[in-house]
Amino acid sequence: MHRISLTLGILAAAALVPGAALAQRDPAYAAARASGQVGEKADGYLAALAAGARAMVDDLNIKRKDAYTAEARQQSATVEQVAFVAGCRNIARTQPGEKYQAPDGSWQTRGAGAPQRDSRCP
Amino acid sequence: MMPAKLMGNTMKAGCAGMLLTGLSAGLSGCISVTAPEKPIVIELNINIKQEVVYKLDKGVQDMIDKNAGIF
Repeated sequence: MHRISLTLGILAAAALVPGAALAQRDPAYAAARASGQVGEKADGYLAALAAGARAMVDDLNIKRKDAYTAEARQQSATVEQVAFVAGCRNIARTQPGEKYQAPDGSWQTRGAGAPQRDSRCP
Repeated sequence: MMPAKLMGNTMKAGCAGMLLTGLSAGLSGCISVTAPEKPIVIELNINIKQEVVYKLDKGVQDMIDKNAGIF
């Protein structure tokens, strides 16, 4: 019994460690995704589909580009190539109700089935 | 060659002109060259090879998992 509560205590403390902040979505961002105010573009970045989401999207896209750049350096690839593959994955990870961009450029609402993705996506 | 007025506005009329002048003997049929109704739109203008996509896929998934807050 004591071991279980000790383990739970350690896990709870670990969740407060700074740096873990990147592991969870900001509540405002999560809400914007759910309400269709932001959408996943096929190129790996976010689009602001409502006027009020612009600043949030710009901030997140800068952070995404940093992550893509670091990954590209590690993999000896271009930022564009990493962003393309990330775009494939980002769209695959959308939840029903969220907005994403189909290969023809149109905005779609994710349903229960598979999203429309570029034929080169893994 | 063929008088200009026998040529129509399309290639099909041009083939008809050839038949009339009897030049089609031994040649294959008419080739119709018309553009598609709607242009083919490719929004994502990136030239990436499939093998590169497969090579990057695992690393990209790990990167997303580590930075889930911005994805």
